[in-house]
Amino acid sequence: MKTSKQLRNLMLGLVALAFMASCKKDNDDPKEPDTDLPANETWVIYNASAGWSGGVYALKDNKSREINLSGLPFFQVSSNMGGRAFGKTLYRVNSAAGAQGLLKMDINASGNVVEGKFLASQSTQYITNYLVVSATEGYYWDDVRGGLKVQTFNPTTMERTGEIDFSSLSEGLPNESAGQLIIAKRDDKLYVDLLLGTKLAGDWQVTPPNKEVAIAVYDLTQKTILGVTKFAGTTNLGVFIDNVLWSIDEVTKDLYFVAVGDMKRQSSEFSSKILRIKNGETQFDQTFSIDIKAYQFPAEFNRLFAYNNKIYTTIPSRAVSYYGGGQHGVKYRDDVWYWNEIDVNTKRATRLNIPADSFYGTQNPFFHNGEIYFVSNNTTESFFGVNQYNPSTKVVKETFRLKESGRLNGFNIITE
Amino acid sequence: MTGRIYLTCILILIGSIVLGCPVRIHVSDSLGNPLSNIAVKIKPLSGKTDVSGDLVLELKQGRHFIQLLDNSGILLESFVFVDCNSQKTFNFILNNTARRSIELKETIVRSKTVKQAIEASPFAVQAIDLKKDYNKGGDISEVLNRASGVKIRTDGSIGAPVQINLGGLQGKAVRLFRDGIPVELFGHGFSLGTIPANMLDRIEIYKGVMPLYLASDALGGGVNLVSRHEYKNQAEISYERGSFNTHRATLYGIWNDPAKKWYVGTNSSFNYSDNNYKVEAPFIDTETSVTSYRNVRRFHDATRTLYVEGFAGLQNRAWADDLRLTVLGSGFYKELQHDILMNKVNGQALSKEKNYTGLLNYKKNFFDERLKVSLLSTYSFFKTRFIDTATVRYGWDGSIIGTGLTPGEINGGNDQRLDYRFFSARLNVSYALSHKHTVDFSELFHHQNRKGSDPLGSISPVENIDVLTVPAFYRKDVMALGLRSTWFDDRVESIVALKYYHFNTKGFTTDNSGTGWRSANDTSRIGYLAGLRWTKGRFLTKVSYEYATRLPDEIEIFGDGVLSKENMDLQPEKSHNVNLNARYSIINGDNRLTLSADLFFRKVKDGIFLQKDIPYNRYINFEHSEIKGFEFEASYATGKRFDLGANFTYQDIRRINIEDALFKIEEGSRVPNIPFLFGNFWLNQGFKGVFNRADRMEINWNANYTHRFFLHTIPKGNEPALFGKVEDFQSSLIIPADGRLGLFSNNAGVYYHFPNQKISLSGECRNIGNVKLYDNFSVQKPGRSFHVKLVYHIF
Repeated sequence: MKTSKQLRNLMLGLVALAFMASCKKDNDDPKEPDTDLPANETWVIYNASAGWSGGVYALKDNKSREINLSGLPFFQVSSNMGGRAFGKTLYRVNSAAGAQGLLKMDINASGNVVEGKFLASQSTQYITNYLVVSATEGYYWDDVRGGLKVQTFNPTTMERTGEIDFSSLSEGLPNESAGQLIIAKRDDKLYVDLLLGTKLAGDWQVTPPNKEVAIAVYDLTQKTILGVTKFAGTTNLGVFIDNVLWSIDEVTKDLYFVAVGDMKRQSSEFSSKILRIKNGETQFDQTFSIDIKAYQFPAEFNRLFAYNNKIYTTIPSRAVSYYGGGQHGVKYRDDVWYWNEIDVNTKRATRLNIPADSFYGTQNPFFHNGEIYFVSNNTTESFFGVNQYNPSTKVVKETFRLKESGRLNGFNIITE
Repeated sequence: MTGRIYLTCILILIGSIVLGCPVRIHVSDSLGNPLSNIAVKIKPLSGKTDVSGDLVLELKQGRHFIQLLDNSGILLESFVFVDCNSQKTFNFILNNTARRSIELKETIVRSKTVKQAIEASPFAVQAIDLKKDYNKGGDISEVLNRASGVKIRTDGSIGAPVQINLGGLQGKAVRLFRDGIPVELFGHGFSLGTIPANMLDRIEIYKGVMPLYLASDALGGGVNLVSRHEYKNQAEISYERGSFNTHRATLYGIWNDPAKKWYVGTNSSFNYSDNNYKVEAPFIDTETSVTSYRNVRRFHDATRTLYVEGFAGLQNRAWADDLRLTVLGSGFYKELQHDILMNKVNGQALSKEKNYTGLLNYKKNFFDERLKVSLLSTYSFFKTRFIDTATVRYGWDGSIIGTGLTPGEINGGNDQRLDYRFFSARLNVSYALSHKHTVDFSELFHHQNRKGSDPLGSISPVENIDVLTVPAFYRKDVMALGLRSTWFDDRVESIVALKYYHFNTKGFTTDNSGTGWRSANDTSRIGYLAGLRWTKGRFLTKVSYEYATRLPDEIEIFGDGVLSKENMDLQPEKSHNVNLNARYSIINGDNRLTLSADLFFRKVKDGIFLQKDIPYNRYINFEHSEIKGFEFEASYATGKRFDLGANFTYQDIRRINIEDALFKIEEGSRVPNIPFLFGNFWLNQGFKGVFNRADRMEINWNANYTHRFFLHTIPKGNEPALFGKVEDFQSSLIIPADGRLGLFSNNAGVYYHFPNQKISLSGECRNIGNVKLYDNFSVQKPGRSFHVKLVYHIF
């Protein structure tokens, strides 16, 4: 009898232990609002764990210079490579679970990011490049619908509306695409990368027969292909879909692209370059290129933002290789990617006083309210945050940093 | 050729007759001390007990007259009844009176079954006797899933990988053996998801500390599948027909020569299924690309496995108690329907495997049974293929939605061929220092080579060669030395042991982009364990501890060649494992109420987890975690006619001691994608004389509940209450993702045994409620299914 009681007590204890362990603990850590922070801005933060999963957070009244995301509402995604803001709407590649396509995200009445409509890609791979131009105009690429076709969609309803056919540019090569990595719109023209070549065994890049890059220009008004412009001496415009490698200088309207080159072989002769199609032109500016060799080699450009005849990009502090030097994610993603301002006329690079980045996040800088914002993830300096740079005064200011909250893989500002 | 051998075995088996079985006679004094050199006579056999007080004799089934004698004469005369269907041990206690006088009486002997003997060891172990499940359909993963503290995870289709969660640990942290041999050496044709219960005698589940004889590097326990080996001649075939064009067949047979000097047998199976059950799948509108969901049959998931095993042995020789040669061949064919999310659908990708293995097993006891030696060695050839070269893409209705695309539906295309050579050997030596203390030594050595090719796969950037053409090898050895002791008239049993782990490997590793380079790894570790069992009356209490190490295995290091890539930098994972068990039984005549509880604690460092990534997954060392949990089981039985019971398990698995401040947001969070609350319920009722005085019938109902769990980490500050709503955040990455608090499923079956005792026929319905079930995120398991099974005992 005594032992029965002991056993009963033991069981009751175990049950109580289990339920106590499951009880939720509230995170009551109210912070005083920072009056220095722009009250009309909502900051959208994309954080990521070591396994790339994370949340999309919207902070308005609870912004601070040091942000701990624990306990804050978020929208969870399985792979968080950031997103793009268009007005008060956000877009990202793939669904929360990772289904191929484009996901719209909204901010609800409570100010939280919530899942919106999803435009599915038929592709089975992580290759759905896209561009949102307006609430009703958008473009994306879906290899299953045709590598030489650019799909059109409505970014509000997230429904496909048609396609633009570049098949006439085919040369009958095994791997052909138009718009797989670059879809840019300037005025009424669409600029898409034209890649005709062969994907060699073991490579993920397509190798073109000629060492050149090509942009196909499409007139959206006339609905005709205006032509193809080529630039020799480098290959492979763009690198992957969450890593946008084109930019329009909103002051000069010049359109810039990054050709990363063959990242496996890193040939000096065909190294990574920044190229340009000037405002009003549909042909590459054959007199202009910025060669990575002028700053570091082997290496490549992997970020791009152009503003007022300045290029903002990263230049590594040492030679790097996506393939060499050990496991990818260890060496290529060291804290070596320093933010630089390159004058497009003199091609002189000036290193900005911003913590070097590690390339875990791939977001480009962006211009907002007179300042350019840069995302950095730097393990050495324990900095995972954003700096803002005033191109007129040359002053750098820390916008915010995450505290113990994972990597910062994306940042948008939404203004009321 | 294999078919002829197989047929010969069958013919031999058919010609056999019923004989006897080995019976252990154990003699001790009133204090429990074993008595050696006691003569035992059971006509026409006789022998003397060894230092452990044991003598094993081969006896026919039935009643026998037994005499125990020493130099002074007859000490005891009695009768024993031998039932060969359960392995028997007969205990005789001789007191002084008995040793002086002749007493003729019939002794009531309560012998321990193997299950009881195993469960009485100091380890936290549960044994599932499968004999009563031979007429049940399905595979053993379903039986295992109903065990206390065990959660089986699978995609649900026949042939799909099966993962065991035990004590909060899962995947490779839980080792799986067959008769002490790593089950991988038997090929995919012999796996938890393909073998019916008919092929096994029992399942031993070690929850935490592993026994020395397995010399294992399991981190969180293991499962040993014990093959059938009846001591009477027997042949049995079974055939199951189920939904989704599922066919399962087994053949088991063993024939012993009348003099008990040699034997032959087979233990084989065949499975086929279209796996074409309905799932809710995404359809993309051709015009708008809007996704809608429709119920549709899977169309590319056919699976076929063939496992043929023949064995022959010599026994009861002067130089060997048992020398067995086993030869087996297995084939595995599986179409691959979809990715881990069920979003990508494949119409052509498939994998194949062929495997040929030879096993040689030698057992001999020396020095009056004090020294026991068992040596087992295996050599295997494996050929695997993974073909993913389609240049078209499919929709979920099987239609082609894209043509002229780059090869490969799953990744960037694969046409992979791999050849493996495995050599594995295990030595177990046990020496009885006295009747109370025994020293055990075990050594497991494993070596494998791999070489292959994949013209569409990884190419090294420097040498520009197909990385799979570079031979890769993996080698490991695990050594264990321990001391087993009994105290206080066997009421207390203890064990202490030291372990040594070592592995080295060399080969190519590749990154997520398909880049490869040469790499090597060589690591060794020391581990230790201790266990204590205390029995008093109806109480059984155990406590055990192990500092466990698990070496990365070949799949984790080299990848599976399909969806996971290599990681040559993997380090062994370590864990402090503590188990506290208690069991209490109330027996009143035929009524028996048993309550058992297990409290467990694990502190894991460098745990190895599958990190899902695009396009390939990869095994990584994943920080540190702490597991506190308990399992509870209650069962009630009335005789052999009726029993019911329930168990549930809660395991609080959390990340701790995150070293990188960057990820401190995850400190204290649950380790994601592991079920942490689950349980089972069951009820069995038996009937006799349903249609005939000699027939039998049973009905069975069982149910399973698994509480919701998250696919990815939720910061502890956002974690919802156990039964609360998800309010602080929005996530569809929950299992299940449709708002249910958990998954509940139930099955029922009717089993009829014909009066001739040779045929049983069963009918089962699984997932009666046709509920959407998920183990692996959005991969939907089969809905309601029906199964009919026939078991025929040829002799």
